[in-house]
Amino acid sequence: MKQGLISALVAAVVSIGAWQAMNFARGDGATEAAAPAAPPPVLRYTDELVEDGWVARAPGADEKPLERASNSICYLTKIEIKGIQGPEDANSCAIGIDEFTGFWQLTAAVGEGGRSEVRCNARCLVWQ
Amino acid sequence: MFAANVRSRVLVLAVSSIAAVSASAHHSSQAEFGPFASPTIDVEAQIVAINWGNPHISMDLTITGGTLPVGEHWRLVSHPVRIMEEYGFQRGDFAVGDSLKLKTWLHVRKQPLLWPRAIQVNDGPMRSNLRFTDMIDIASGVFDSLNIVAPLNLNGSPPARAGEETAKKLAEMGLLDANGLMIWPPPTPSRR
Repeated sequence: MKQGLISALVAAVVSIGAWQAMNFARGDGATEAAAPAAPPPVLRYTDELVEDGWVARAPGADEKPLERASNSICYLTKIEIKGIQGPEDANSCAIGIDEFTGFWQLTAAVGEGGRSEVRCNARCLVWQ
Repeated sequence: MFAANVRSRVLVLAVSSIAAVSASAHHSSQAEFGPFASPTIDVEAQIVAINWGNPHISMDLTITGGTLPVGEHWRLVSHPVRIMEEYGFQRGDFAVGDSLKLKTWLHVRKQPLLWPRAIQVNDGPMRSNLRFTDMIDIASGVFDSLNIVAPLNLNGSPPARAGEETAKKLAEMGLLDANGLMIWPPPTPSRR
């Protein structure tokens, strides 16, 4: 059930990313009529990170850069949580833009007081 | 035409993604930054931010010299806090604005990450950040020429992760004790 929901979420995110890429390639209709069509972008998607983002049995956050945010969109492919001890165990997997590096970044986190384990991974759709 | 292509790719992507959800594997930092014996580059940088926490410490750096383009933003990642302390590094050794000289590995997938083989803060010594590479360099006879200060935890370390050949060579050099653990600094020859 959980895996089904995650799969559906991933498919939705990928579809939105591809839709954005399509719009990027299509451009303005009027401009298209007047000028030669620009070559379509080359799309590729990345493998998962070699090592998961992970935190185990202690609070902390593992942050891993993914791809340059200017020409990609990334999506979670793995959320694995083990050893929940109680309500204080607040875990998360998240993707956001790291303003310092300009890359999408995967963050696996166990909140203060947590003692469980979280593992996350992601892939990215990249256009050039 | 393009739209049709993209739609078919989306289908492939979605299926691939579903398959990926169930994939699970564990890899070491060598998988991300290359083997312990792989060559390093020299980088100079200024510390912009420090995260001295688990699961591993990290520092945001602005490049100021060396092999990487000046002005680029990179992140140094290293051991968990406890291991850093076993190497002899403390949080107080680093401050925002400090200058670093690094002998470092780059991430194998071109992500803006550095894993330091050795770290020099300001005008301090160049200190080792990876004892297994020290073992490899000691066994191959180049360690002294690198002017790297060995870490606190080199003495007494098991050499297995440095590789079988390295362990064998260290034993031949008289640098392993009866339990097969590293002896460092090297025992001084006894005088008669």
